[in-house]
Amino acid sequence: MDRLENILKDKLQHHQVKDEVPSWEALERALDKPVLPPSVRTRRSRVLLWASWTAAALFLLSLGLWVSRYVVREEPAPAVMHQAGVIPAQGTAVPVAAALDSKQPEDASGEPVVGVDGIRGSGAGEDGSRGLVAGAVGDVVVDGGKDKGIGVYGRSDGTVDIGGQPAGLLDSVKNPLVATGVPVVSGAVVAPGNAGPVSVPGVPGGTGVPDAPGMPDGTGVAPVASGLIALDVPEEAVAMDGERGRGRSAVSLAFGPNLGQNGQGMMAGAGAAMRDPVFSEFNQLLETPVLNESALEHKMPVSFGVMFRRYLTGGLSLDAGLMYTYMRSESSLSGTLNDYTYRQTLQYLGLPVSLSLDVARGKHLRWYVSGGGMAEVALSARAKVQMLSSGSVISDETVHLKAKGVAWSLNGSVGLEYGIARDMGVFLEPGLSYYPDNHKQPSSYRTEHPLNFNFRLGLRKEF
Amino acid sequence: MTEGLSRVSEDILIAGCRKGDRKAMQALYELYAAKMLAVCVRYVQEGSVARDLLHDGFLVVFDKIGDFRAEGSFEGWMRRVFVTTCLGYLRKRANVRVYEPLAQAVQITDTEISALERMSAQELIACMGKLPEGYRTVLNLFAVEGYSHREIAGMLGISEGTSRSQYSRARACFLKVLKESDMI
Repeated sequence: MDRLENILKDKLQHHQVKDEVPSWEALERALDKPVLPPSVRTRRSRVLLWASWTAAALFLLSLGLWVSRYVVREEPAPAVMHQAGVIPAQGTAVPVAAALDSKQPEDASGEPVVGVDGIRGSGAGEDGSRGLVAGAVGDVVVDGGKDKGIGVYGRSDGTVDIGGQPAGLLDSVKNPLVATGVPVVSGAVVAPGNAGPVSVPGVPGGTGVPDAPGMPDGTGVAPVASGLIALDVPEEAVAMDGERGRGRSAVSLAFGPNLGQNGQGMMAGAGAAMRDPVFSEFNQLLETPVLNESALEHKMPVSFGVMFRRYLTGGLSLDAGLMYTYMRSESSLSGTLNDYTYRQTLQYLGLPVSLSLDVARGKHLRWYVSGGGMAEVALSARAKVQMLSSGSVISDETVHLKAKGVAWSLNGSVGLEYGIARDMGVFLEPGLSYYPDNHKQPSSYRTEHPLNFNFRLGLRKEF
Repeated sequence: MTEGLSRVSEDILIAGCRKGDRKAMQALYELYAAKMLAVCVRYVQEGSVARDLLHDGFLVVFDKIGDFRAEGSFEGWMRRVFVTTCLGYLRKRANVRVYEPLAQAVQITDTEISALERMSAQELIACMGKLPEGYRTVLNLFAVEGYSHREIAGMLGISEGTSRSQYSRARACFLKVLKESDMI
């Protein structure tokens, strides 16, 4: 070692910089963290890191909002909501008419009303006249579909035959028909067909199309654009119509889970029930099972997410992150002809923000209490409706549910975190959450239990 | 209070820190913070960064104090922790680089040595701060900390020969800075 090195060593090795030593309290606050901080970073890099995580969180949240707004909402208006209210019908125009005779019924008032909401059939069949085709009395909203429909044939004796495509079933029930009010059906004619206006047989001057083929008994066939009809038809209404109209009434009934709180016909259809696919053998009334909201069995929601923690002072920290929640509900019922199952799945992406206070801390474990709120948007809200006959699935359809806006909630929890790295840990948070009903979310565990107990499991990064 | 705490045996302090005793930690911090901050300042110069390194270095010390074996001095162990922390910071910023040779080995005269001896630590640190970070790092590691070139090679991920040549150039550069600053 030469003389230069000796001088440097003597003067610098034990040199002290006393004036600029930070206070112990600043270091002690860092020691309050359950795990040690990450490697050295400059202040600038810390700001950039914060900005990066914030940008990532905002991006994911925006993505979730976009999916919720533009992907989910592009689907047809949902028919299942957990509350009664205005029917969100946004169907395509579907003219429905049929005729049985060449003579136009004079008193037919059953010209289907075609509008943006689809069919609002009104009126009844001509009394005593063969070949009368009438629409449904009451509000029947057909949400336009494009695939297969169902053929329905009325007979003069007031009974109803239902037919359709050889396939016989609505195997693409994407757009539910929604019935509101008190649907009284007197010959709604629904038949397989294409999207848009349909050809209706044999009603010269009537509501049908003159050159359309009629059934031997004068029944008309009215193709309907929609793939799904769901119509709540009281038995007595059909009987009344039969007496009054005695026309070639045609009734289409279908399964539709009615989740309206007051049971006023908010239905999501799953397709017309046809047990026999053979055209000529469709000779039975279809039942109309109705699912009430109370019949839904809501499973415990499952949430997991990624959280970020920033200590503010002492053991107090600010938590924020992203939380995914999955909720499932289901129900089943047995009808006279078929069995039905309804399985609803909801997926939410939430942005939880909370303040946490450390209660106890070990080398790897940390107990804390936390309180805050969360804003969630639905990523997906759908229900699968199955119709079964003799144990075999004969219709399997998916219905998209309406889940609008932001679902807010308040949360209080006790957390346990285990540090798996110097700046990262897994946490389990049992807690209580309150979900005020914003009347825009599907029926779920949360709407049934606004105040509920929950567990959260996740990964938390500290910085 | 600092004086009182400093009288406590270092072993007791270490044992307290191992148990997570905050008072022992505080005493240890107050005992060594100024020295370790000086180490950080020599390597990174910038005061705010040096304080950050001091903060993070102590967190490492408290976390790893259980690994300390009383085979050497505790201060030497701590110093190594802080030097490693500083090198990690410099490596992350990719500031430890090998520079082109500036000059051949420079001889230092007695007059210059005398001038050097009259310089304060702050003046020396200020002049070292004018060196490129690579030179300053090697000069600190070899001349001040007393690491061998083999150890330096391992710490910086370079060969022993590179460490030797780097130090030679760093030394020459340092003397040049001293002369240009009219310090010697």
